[in-house]
Amino acid sequence: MSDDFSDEYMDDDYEDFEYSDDESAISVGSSSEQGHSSAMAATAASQGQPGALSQSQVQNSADLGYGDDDDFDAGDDVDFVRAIGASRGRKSWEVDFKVCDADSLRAIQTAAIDSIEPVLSVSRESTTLLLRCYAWKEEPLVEDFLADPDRTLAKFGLSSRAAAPCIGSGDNEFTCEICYTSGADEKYLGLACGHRFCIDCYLMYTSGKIREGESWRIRCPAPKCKMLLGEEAARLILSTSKDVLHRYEDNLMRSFVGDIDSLTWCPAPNCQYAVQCLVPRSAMATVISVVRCKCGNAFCFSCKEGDHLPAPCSLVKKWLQKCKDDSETSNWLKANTKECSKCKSTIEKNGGCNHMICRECHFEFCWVCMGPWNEHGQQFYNCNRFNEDSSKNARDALSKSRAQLERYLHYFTRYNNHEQSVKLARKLLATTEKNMELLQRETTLSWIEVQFLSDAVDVLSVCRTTLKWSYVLAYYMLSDNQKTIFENNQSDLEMATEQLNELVENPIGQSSIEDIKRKIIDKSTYVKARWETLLSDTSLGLQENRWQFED
Amino acid sequence: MSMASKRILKEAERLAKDPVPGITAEPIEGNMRYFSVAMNGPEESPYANGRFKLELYLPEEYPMSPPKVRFLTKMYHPNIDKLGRICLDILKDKWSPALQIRTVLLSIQALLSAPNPDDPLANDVADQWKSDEKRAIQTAIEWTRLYAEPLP
Amino acid sequence: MASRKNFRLLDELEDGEKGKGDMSYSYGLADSDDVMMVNWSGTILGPHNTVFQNRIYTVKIVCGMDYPNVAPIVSFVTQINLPGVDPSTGSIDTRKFPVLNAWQPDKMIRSVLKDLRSAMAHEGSINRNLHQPPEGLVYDIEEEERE
Repeated sequence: MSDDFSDEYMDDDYEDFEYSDDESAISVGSSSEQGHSSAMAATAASQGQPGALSQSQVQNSADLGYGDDDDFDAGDDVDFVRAIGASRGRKSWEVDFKVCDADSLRAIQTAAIDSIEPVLSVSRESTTLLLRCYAWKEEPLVEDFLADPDRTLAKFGLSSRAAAPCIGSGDNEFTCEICYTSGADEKYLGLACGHRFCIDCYLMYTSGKIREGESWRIRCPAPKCKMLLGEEAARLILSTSKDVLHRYEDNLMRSFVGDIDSLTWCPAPNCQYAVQCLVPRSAMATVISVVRCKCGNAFCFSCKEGDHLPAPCSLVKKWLQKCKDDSETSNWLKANTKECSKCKSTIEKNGGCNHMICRECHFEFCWVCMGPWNEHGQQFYNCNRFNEDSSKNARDALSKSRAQLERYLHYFTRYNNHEQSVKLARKLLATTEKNMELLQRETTLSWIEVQFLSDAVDVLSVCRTTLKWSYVLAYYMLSDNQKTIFENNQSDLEMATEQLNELVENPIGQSSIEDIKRKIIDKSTYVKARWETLLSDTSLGLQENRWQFED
Repeated sequence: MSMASKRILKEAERLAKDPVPGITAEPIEGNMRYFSVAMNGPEESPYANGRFKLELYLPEEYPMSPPKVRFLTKMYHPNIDKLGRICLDILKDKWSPALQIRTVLLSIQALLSAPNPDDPLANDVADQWKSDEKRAIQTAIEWTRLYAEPLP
Repeated sequence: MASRKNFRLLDELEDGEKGKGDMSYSYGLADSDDVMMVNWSGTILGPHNTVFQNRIYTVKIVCGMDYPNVAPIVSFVTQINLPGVDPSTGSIDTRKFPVLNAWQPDKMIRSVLKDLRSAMAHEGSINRNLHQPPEGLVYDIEEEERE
């Protein structure tokens, strides 16, 4: 071991590994698990999963009609369903993404190393280390390297002349500076820098670092030595500790995914998958990149919250913070039971449907705005709009803040209402199925599967989630003609959703199960169309900067 | 951890047999991890005529993690706070298991010779050091006279 | 004396400075020059839905030379009506507070504060009507008063 190397690596003038460019330099090979984020495309094979449709319904909507297509089993091939989704093409609000398991992540990594190895012409291990030092950004690495290869290598404790790590024993003169044992019996390891330590100490040292989450940044233990440990040496040291080696590999992969902008871990607990999405970071302000993991979790690639279409991440963040800050208000609202406007008896809301009928006096009204129901269902649906004029009339500071509170409450109430309804979806499904069973028994018809029912409940959940976030978008949107058009779409969807919900919750009064089924499927189709309109319009509107937002 | 105990014993032996000039470090009766330290202020520094008390503790993970040290004597120094805590890189991120108590104490002594007001622990002292170094040095000399023990 | 673990106290001090734990309590040295870290001051936020809510309580904590093998000595500075606290002096009957009563060396200052707060939550629920002294009053103690 030459001493020259030691001096080289003792240089005080060295930089830390910090790289943060916006452009991800890693390109991807072909995909095998391509997906579209649309909740309405069946990406899940299992029944009852939120946002998933049965085979028959996917087929039906593709045909723009409905039919009694019960020939497909739930167990039928998911690929068929995906083909349908793919043939329909990506919607304007959807993004392309790919779910990656450990193997595909390694493949992406290998591809990146392969592509740059010929340019650098150093060992594969050094190439990999350099890429890690540069956070996998090829361009800055190549630029620095071509300008001055030796300096670039030395900056990170590497050298083109570097020898492999060496393990040995039988050196009488050897003393381990960590444990102070010495002699020929001691087995030692030394990196290319020339510093040797006994293998037990190296194991203890490396294990400690790995436990702290470190991996490729682990250096030679010698004071001021910059020499990076490297994977080969790590494997030598950890050959007797499979657990720690495993953790080391995990940490390496963690750091890889963390460094690459186009990769992120699925936030679901215990999920081992990562997702790749090539939407550039600069576009994420207007393109909401909702992706769906193989584990079923749908989330926003950028901010890791759930599917929050159509509101952009920045508004979502602001809104959630606001709700947290105003938690007293929201707590009061959530705990609030309302009174019938006519007879004042207390009413508790059990299902998602907003059409309330007072048990005492039979007054029919909308749960959200408390207004008479007949003004809602049929004509111009107004429940979603906040009347800005009333806030314009605020004269002094007190009424201004009260007006602001009322405005916030308007949006929050509706946001919260949709959220609660989604939570009640399972309960709704159980109730609905019971209703159907009752009906079926009474009419003595043969048993028909209730698949269309659970699909309708799924559709409701998806739409309510979208509506919930659409109120967040609306809250921050400044009022103008463009906002009016947006609110028209919102009200179309909301009205349709309420109608479908009512059908599902109160099927009694329909003449036959066939009739109910037909009505529900028809309505579902209509609701889906309104949903797609809202999503496609908002996604285009955001990209076109059609609206102005506060702040 | 027998490796750690073996090492600590060896270090204590070496420190007793071959002490660092101007510094004594003795394990406290019955506890091999706890050292009572006395350090002469370096010549040509405001601390030159004083002998300073420190306490040093070797945590469970030593030598994989650094020893914990602090001054017990009241110090006027930009990198030492009112409680005697020391801002020194080898005591934190630049620690190496190949370093020893000996090297740590020598580094602390070196820090007394070369205060670094740009990486402060005691902000008001650091400000004073930067704005009026002569006056700061005078204060340090004064504090040495008031609080440190005389040289043996 | 070596068993006193000054460095453990330094760790506790750092935790307190960083604000580890939730926002319902805080603590620090009573005197920043206290090299031996004997005298500490803690504050506890009265729990919600109790007679203590929205009030801030100051406590005095003394870590003697045998800390942490021996429990710290804790007393209320802010006047309080709470079972286990002497209403005229603020001194604490350790039998009424589990962390102090069955002290373990791995417990810390923040464990004591959390325990006191739990007791307030438990004893002070609004239904029980534990009548509290006016806000802001402190116990008259011979040493330097706080606030």
